[in-house]
Amino acid sequence: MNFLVIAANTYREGIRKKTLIGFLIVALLVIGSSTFLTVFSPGEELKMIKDVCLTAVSIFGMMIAIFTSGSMVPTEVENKTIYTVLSKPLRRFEYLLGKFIGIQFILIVNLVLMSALFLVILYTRERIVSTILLKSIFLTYFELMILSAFTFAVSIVSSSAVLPIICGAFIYIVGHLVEYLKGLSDHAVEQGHTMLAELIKLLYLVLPDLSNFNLRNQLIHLQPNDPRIGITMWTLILYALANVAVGILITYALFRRKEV
Amino acid sequence: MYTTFLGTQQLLALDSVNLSVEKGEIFGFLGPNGAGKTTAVKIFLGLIFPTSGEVRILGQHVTSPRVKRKIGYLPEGSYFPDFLRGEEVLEFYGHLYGLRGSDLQQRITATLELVGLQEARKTLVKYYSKGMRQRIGLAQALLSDPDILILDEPTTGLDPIARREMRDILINLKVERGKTLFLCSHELLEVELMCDRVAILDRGKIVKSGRLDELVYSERDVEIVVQGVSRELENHLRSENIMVSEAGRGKVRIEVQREKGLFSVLRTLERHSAELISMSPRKESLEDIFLQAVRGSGAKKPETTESGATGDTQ
Repeated sequence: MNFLVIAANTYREGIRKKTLIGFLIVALLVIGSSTFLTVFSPGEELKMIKDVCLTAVSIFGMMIAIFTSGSMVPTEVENKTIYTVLSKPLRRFEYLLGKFIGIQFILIVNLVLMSALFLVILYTRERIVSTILLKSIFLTYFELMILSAFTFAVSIVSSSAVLPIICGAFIYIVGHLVEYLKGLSDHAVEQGHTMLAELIKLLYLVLPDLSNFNLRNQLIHLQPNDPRIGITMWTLILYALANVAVGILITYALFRRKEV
Repeated sequence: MYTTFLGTQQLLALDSVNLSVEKGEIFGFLGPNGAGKTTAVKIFLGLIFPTSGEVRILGQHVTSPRVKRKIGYLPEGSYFPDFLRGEEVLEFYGHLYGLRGSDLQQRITATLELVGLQEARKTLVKYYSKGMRQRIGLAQALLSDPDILILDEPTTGLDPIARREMRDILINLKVERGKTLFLCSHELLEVELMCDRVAILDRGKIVKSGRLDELVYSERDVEIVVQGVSRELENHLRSENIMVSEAGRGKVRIEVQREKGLFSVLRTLERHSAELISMSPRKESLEDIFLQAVRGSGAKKPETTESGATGDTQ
């Protein structure tokens, strides 16, 4: 059960990191100030609050996810702390699993704090707790979990946190545009750029589709097309868990014989 | 053998390193910077993997958690999670050994007392001095009461007092607790004061090894100090290619190789009525031996040959 020791220590490291505390404070300030922003859209105050808060939760959640997942292992390698840890009776898989679980604890705590403030603000306005909002936040966690798994995998081959953080941001951005990639690939074929078309198609096939985890349209604009018809919440959870499993397996394959 | 990311370059870091460490001894692993000492230690701990060869500790492969339970490791520089307090560092490492509750707390207190950090147990590690970091490093290595301690440059960067205290702790671990210590260092004086056996590594190869007392006391050379040597006798000895030098107060030091007529020299001295003051095997410093071994090794780095390390600790 040594992975739980690593997880607890990773969590402790995360909540004491000044950068992460900074992200959280800014996120809470943005969410908290959303009520004052309603002056810019009279008549649509609730929409404005929901829009700002959902965006803040998603963006700051993404930043916390890629920063923690991308920096944990490179920092330990850079500080050489990893030598004392891996020389203890601990298997490399336990180390990785512990790190990943610790990162999830950090994500969940940050997400809960941001969402709690969001819910309190909405409750003071609407006097109800929206189940679709809870569902949206729940799915946001699974979206961040996928992002965190792949950023974590990249961090194993990197000697600094910069590369995994850039890759994490790329996965987040392109992961939300995956649906457009197919059309873009077809368009490239029509234009005669076959190599480019193949590359875009490869990205379409490889990158996780994160757009379905976003219930923005349903929540803000009351349009029941989020997620797309035929995709249930359970489908999305299974999709996320499958992606995370792939991410962890890639991470282990890269780390199993890595020279630290 | 290290291979770069794109496989364009290869570096032979260690070449046919064979050594075994006996139970209850302090073994010194010496070498200049870049000789491959830390690489070898990382292989011993399963942090990196040799392209050929194997390491067995207590008869088992080093990657086994069962073996790792019996090893304490102090890395060079001693880096620890600096967001933790001294006692939290030890709690974390203790948990990795499966230690819990009052047993763990008792061990933490005893280990902190042993390394002299009891008063700083609640201080964040980031506020520790270099000496304190080395001590907390030693504490985490000792926490599980391991049979074997692998220490990478344990006294580097310490002031003379801290160095002396660290040395006393390490010698006591061997003498009073019967621990086996593998000391990786280029601090020759420390090694000379502590170690039973040494191996000198240069450019990835072991260029000299053996018992320290056998290495520093030359088997071949004898130093004779005599009094009442005439100028004529001195010239006669020099003409025989024997080293003669002034030793002060009318005494003369004569260095002679045993196999090259020690008894003949003694008879000559007797004939000339020289008074024998002392006769002893000539002692070299570890520094002399180290410099001779490193300068004389001429070890080269072949680019493509197979590399590996074989180590054994009992």
